Amino acid sequence: MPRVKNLKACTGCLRCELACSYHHTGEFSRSHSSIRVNKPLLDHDLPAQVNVLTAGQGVRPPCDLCSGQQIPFCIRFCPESVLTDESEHP
Amino acid sequence: MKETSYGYAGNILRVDLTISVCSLEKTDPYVPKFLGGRGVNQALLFKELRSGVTPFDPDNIICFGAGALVGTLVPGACRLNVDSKNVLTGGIGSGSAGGWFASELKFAGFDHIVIQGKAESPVYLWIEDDKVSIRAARDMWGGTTSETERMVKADIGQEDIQVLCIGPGGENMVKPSSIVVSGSRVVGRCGLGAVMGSKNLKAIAVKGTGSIKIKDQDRFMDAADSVSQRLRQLKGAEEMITYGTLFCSPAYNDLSALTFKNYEDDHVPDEHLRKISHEAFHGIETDRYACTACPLPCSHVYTIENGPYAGTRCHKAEANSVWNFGGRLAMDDVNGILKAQEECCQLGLDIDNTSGVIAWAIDCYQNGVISVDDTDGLALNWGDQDAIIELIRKIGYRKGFGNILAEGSLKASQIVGKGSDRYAFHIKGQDLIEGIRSMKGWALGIVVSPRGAAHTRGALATERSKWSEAESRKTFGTLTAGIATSYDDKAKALMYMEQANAVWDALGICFFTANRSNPEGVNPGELARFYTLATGIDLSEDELMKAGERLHNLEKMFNVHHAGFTRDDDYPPKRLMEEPIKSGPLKGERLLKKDWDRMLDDYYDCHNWDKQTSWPTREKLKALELDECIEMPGKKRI
Repeated sequence: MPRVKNLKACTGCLRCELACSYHHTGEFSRSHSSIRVNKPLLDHDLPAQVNVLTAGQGVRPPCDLCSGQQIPFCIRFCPESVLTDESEHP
Repeated sequence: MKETSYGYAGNILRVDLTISVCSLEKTDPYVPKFLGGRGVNQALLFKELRSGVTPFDPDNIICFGAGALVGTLVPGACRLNVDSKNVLTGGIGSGSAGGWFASELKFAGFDHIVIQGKAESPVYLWIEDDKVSIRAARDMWGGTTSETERMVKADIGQEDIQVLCIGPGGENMVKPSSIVVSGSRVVGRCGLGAVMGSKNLKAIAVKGTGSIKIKDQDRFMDAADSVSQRLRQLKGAEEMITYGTLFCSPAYNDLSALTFKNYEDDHVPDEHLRKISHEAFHGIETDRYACTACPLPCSHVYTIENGPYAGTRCHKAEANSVWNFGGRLAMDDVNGILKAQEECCQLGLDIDNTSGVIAWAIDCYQNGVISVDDTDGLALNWGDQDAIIELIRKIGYRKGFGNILAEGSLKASQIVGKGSDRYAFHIKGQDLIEGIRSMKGWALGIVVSPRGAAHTRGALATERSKWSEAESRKTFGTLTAGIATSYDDKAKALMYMEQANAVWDALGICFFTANRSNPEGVNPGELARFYTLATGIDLSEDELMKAGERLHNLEKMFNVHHAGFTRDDDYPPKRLMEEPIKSGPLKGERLLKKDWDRMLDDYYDCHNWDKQTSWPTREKLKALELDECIEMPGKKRI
């Protein structure tokens, strides 16, 4: 499962969410994604949240690390390198 | 008519606030002729607004449109366009904003929302997929834009939704008002917040759990990925990410194109500009963010550290913030500029038109046209941030002198009289904010823009970024697009950019990702390919640009029917043709009448518009398949 390595860099662009939903369904959606991004703009004391789901929640499919792809879509489409598929302790 | 099962959400939501009824239409009939976003919005406006409807008439409509590519991974596909009758000019009113609202709207199943009528008391609209409700907003009326967004979220009981709203400015039908989207992004210009206010519509909230389908999936994803990676490597991308649009102000000043003290000069003294430089803003940046699908996060959040406004957070200071507050009003303190901008954002005021009317007031005061007897006792001096912030509040609540300023500078000058129109710099009634005496193609685009003064409708940013002859030739087939002071061949380049701007707005593409100031940005050929891959509708680059031209002509015709604008309305303020720039590298430049006439003739020729009236010809409208504009019951005949 992709790991959040640099949350501070997340700009809330939702590219990872949309790319993830494309992997699962061939469509763009925020709901059919294994990732949920929340970048609160009214309350800046709150940090951004990037949650990758291992188990499905409602219609959300669990992350399968984009089986069949060389690089998971969420990592490939994140312009800020927030996510990584490297293990925490190489 | 084409099947819109790909790329588009497919539906237009229509809400009549007078009778509290919602209905659905299909997007199909408008596609691909008007593309989407601003295109379909304007088609709806043209078709449905009868002559004589005033901006605050319940019969006026206001259209919200997500661009055709919004909701996908095309870089910068995030824009929401809002179109209605312009409260300042009586012609077309049109603006757009980034953020996350437009994509959420498409995921909810709608490409557009059309609001008509007027609610009996304040309401907001709540769209949760196909469930739409009109809810009471009595308790929210009077709230600032941040307060309103919080109240809407609390009322619905969900945080993870998108909200657009107006502040007291829109409620009080202040003409320099705005609509604030996603808490931080703004549809400024044209007073569209006041149109929402006139309908008693405080906010629209949306939550979408649906999806957008793509026709040619793999090729679409590969193109989206490679274009996105290229954009990150472009010259200027790093500055855009680090500083946002603030970084371009010195370049404009080096071309004597930043107005100082309401056009007393078009060059800000270097020492003054240094105090409010992009580096100075960067020093107090506390966060940054990007709109949906954008790889170039140009939005920054600043927190004021010192002084009377310490602790204030302010979103997204733009180049305009420095031009307006730093140049035109001569404020030399970053904290003051941020506070002024944040006040505008919270009150739902457009910083361009608001600072414009304040500049008019200060100029009148400085020249003895008005006194403390007119200004509720307030002395008005250039750069006085406390007085400027006080005026912003007075405008937002229409208090005292603010009630006159809330009409915008043209109308305010008519109310005050006494020759005060000398200090009102506007085009067609909308405030001018840019220095336009030195950059001729920039000036032409701003002055002839159908929505009134606007540099976001084609004005040649190529002059600021000094395109080479080779770059100019490749894109426009001319050599001069990068030469600021040349009047030659600017019309042809402008026509290209007008079409491209219309395409960007109709597809929902942010122009900071496009080939507007950087020739290597996303070009119309690439956008045509994205459109075809996404929708399955085969559209060539030429056909896409023709759709852009069609949209530009449609807006021009809206002005003909509703505002009666002619060639006379396509001239800069007289003083900018008579008084030369006093300092800076292009000292001495002004807009010469004979050269302007020559450039204007060339521009009308390029468009095949009548040179005397400035109106599109029958032949042109026919060629653009705009038969609906040629003859309409109750409207002028071309």
